[in-house]
Amino acid sequence: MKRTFGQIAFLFAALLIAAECGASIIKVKPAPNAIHNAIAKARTGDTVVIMKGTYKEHEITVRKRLVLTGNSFPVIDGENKYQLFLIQCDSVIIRGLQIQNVGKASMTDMAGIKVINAKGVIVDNNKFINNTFGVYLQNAAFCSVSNNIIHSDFKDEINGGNGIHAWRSDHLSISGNIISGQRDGIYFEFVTESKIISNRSFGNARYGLHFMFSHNDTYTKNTFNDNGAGVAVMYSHGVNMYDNEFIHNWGDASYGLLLKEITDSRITRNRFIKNTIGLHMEGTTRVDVRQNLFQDNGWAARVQASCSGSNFIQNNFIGNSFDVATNGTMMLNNFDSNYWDKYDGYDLNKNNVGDVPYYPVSVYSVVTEKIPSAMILYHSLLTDIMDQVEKVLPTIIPDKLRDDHPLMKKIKL
Amino acid sequence: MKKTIFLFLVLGITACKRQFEPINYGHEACAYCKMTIMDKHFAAEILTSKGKAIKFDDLGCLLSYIKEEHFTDEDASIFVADYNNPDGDFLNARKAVYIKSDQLKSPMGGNYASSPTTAAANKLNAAFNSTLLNWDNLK
Repeated sequence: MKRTFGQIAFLFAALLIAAECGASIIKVKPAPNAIHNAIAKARTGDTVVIMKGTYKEHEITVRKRLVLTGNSFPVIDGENKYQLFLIQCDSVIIRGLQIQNVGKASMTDMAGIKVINAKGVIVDNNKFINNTFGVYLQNAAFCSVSNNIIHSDFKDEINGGNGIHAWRSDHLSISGNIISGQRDGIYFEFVTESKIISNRSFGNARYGLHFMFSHNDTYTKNTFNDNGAGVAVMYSHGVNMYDNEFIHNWGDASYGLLLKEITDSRITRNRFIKNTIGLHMEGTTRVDVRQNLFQDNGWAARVQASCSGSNFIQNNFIGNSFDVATNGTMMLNNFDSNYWDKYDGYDLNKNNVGDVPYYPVSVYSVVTEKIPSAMILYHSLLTDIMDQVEKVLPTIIPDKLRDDHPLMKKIKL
Repeated sequence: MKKTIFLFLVLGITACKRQFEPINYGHEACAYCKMTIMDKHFAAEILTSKGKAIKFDDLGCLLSYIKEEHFTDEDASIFVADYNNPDGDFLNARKAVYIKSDQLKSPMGGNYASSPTTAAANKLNAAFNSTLLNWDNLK
């Protein structure tokens, strides 16, 4: 018996040594075409260590399973003309590089790292500075993009690219990235079964996060602040958004979160703070909005009449100019057991639930929905009178939009 | 005095002229999909007979808008961006020539590229291998 153990141990040791021998480490120092040559020389499974320095190489195509690591962030420079890494093999790992100055072209989307038709690629702990697109995933699966810093100073917002761009991919994991100054921070189109966790996306020209036709994805613990138009989630089903922060997306057409044509999705424990419009919903079906905080927004929630079967339950509405706005009298959504700081009803039986319903759509939000320029009279004597009259004789506000169990105390979230 | 009145009249008339309204890229939202209009290659605009401009980020959005909003204004002008000359003048959509290809990757997946002439469209089409379309067979 002992002998068998010995044999097994020997076998393992032999295997380990074999593996060690099989994979070698190739060091690269700055020289013309140094990275190209190293990759050409390397065999499957090798590690290419790129030493500190500046490398002006471009169109670096990786067609073997390699590990590319940088030693104290070597700079790979695209000179504002070229694209850099093209990964066309499964399980390639790229980490520790500074990738900068990728060029622009009208026909191809140029990116710092472009993954094409590959699985299991890891892009970890890199810096992307002033690139059109940072990381571009096309027909990729089971890839991970994590802990990268992606930033662009481009003022030309129209021609800019996205920080992390994914197209026709599945099972991606995007986590711990810090993205700023791009067109869209993170962009998903036709991406399914993926996770976006703990990223920070701010100061982007258009959206912090933008996804379309991307089903069954989960977004948690991300922060989206000061983006041109906030976050847009469109034409998707099975979207889960938990514990995210949408902060200070401020401007004429800015939203904390814009939902359009979304079905069967959950929006839970998010914080919408200081946005022009906290949550805008259009054409949504069966969206569950629970335990969110809406604080100091212009409009906390704008629910268009085209939405149906959605629930607003146990949310806190605090310090918003308008709690809810809508553009019709029909309301097929359910508001229940929320806390509204503007609620001035009473609670005689002391069960912490108000005894009279709360109507979250104020008369003036109905007026400004139809005549936006009427906003100039907001907080004037006239509007105060209208509010009081409406309270006594409700005529304008949609009476179906009401919370029958408004809470007397803030919900602890 | 008469001169001033005349001047005001002229100004008033020119101000009311019904004309193409330039798109403020990066700031204005598409009337259909609500996205900010960014890509100069694919923008489109309807100018109604009353002079109201409705702007879109994708010709696909414009077509869906016409269909879903039951837009029946026959006198409306319709403009599309020239794919190969995105900074130039917009084209009359009813006279433009189109190609359609998934490789175009337009903002909302309409994937139409417009050209002013059949020759220009053929030239563009060399890279895409689509069939040429005109306004009537777009829908």
